[in-house]
Amino acid sequence: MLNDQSKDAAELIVLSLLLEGPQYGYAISKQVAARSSGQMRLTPGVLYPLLKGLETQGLVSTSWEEVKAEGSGEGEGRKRKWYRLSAKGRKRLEQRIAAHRAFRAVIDAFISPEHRGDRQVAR
Amino acid sequence: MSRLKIQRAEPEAGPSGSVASWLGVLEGLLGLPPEESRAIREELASHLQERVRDLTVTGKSESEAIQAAISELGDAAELARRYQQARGRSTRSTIMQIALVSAVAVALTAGGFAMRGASEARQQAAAARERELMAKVSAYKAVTAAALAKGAGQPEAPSENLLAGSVVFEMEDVAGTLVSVTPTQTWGDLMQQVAQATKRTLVANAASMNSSGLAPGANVGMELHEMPLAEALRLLQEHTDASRDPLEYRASGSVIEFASRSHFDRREVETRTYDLGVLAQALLEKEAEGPAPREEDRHTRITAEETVSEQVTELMQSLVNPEMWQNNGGELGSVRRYGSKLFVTAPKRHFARIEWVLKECGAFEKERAGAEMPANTGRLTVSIDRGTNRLVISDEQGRAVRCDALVVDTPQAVNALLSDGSVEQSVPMLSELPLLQPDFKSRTPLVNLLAPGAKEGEAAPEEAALPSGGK
Repeated sequence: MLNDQSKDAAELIVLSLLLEGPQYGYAISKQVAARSSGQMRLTPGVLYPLLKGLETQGLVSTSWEEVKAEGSGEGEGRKRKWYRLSAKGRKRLEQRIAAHRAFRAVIDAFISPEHRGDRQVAR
Repeated sequence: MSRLKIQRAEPEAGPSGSVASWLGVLEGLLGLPPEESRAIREELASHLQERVRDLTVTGKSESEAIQAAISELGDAAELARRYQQARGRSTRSTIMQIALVSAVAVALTAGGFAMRGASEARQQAAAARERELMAKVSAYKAVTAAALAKGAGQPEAPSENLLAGSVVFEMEDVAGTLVSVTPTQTWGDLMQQVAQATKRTLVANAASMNSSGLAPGANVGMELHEMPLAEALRLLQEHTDASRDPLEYRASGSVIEFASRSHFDRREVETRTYDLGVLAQALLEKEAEGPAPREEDRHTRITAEETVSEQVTELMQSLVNPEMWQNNGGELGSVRRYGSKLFVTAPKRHFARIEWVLKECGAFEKERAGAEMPANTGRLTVSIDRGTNRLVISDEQGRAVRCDALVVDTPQAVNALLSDGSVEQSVPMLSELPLLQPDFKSRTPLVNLLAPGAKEGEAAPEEAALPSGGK
């Protein structure tokens, strides 16, 4: 069951990927697995509704690409949905990153210096 | 796989058969307009096609690959539910963005909601007043536990003099204060009594009281026994000269201010915008349906906007406190139009009625007329159910309001809200993210943090780089 934190993380990740350039769904899920060395799997059951949500909120714009049928047994040509980060999406990404950083800072505030290792404590 | 609610026994004609039937099941569960489900179906079909291809490359048979690819999508019903949620988020995010207003535009009382029904225009209109009020009002900003710890100490006085769009937060303890007076006691006595009972500093604006015909030294002239404050004020003034411009109060965490209604009105003027596009559209559509009018009578988009604006304005100005509108010779109220937008300026307390009029005209689109709308009419009451330690937020009609985000201020402001004084209950928030649900069962661990050493007012280990505005 998805909790909201992992939803936020997923959104952050997808938006970050889209910052690098337009992508379509399947490519996004492959990239997530690849970049996290398999640690993070953004399953299609999560990814596609998430992308839909981004679209609904105007954080991405979408377009369709005609994909030619390849050889036999593939069925007819399909349409691929491409996602591109919008200005609003860019802003949301910045917010999420800022929130993520602030969140980390908060947690760090509780981790005692000895566990933080050689991390300097700023006053 | 057994959770998939499809019949899978027979291999259908070609491998695409089972994909098609699964997608068909999903489409049925989605329950969306055909164009939308077609798009979703198309995208998922394309995904499955590629996925199946990748899986067969690894050595799986086609039917194995199909089964695997479909099962990766999970339970069709769950997927459908997620799609619906994702769709519904458009409304939610609009409200979230409305609720999460950037620092300049919002003045919050302790823990109050910031719901702005309008836009940039209103913020600009209030900019000058903002600067003045910021001195009294804590700005909304990102807070970390470090800031929380740093800020621990005296609760500051959040002001109830709210900026445009923010919600009036009725301090429950004040509204419920019981008042007792004898006929020979003065208004000054009454105000002192209330201030003492509510443990607040009294600010009495004698000038405005005098000009409205109510001298602080005058006798109240009536005996009251343990009556709630609002009712007491009403009764005492009903038959006096002051009833035209009665004495009112505004309470914040540490101050209770008495002044005439006109004094508060002048201070609480705000501008809100309303988009009448929906009404203009409806007018055009109605014309298109009916018998074709003459060419010169037919409305264009622009003239439709003009027409509905005029009609709505006239309705508003005749139904809502007519004498205040500048068009009617008044002072504080005005309506201006830009395109399909109306800019309505009036003392804040009138917006409930103004928005009622607009709503009755059909100005608010259906999807916004849900539970979120009541909040825009201006007054939410926030109270705490001590039993469950939940915040209960209800609108003027006493309906519970669902919120997507509770925007709170500095910890001091929250202290005031919880009127508890203990730092444990302070709630730091991150800006522009929904982090808190009305029941205070937070969605992130940031809520209800007890920063170490906070109680003693020590500085936290990390420096918080936050502007401290509005002090």
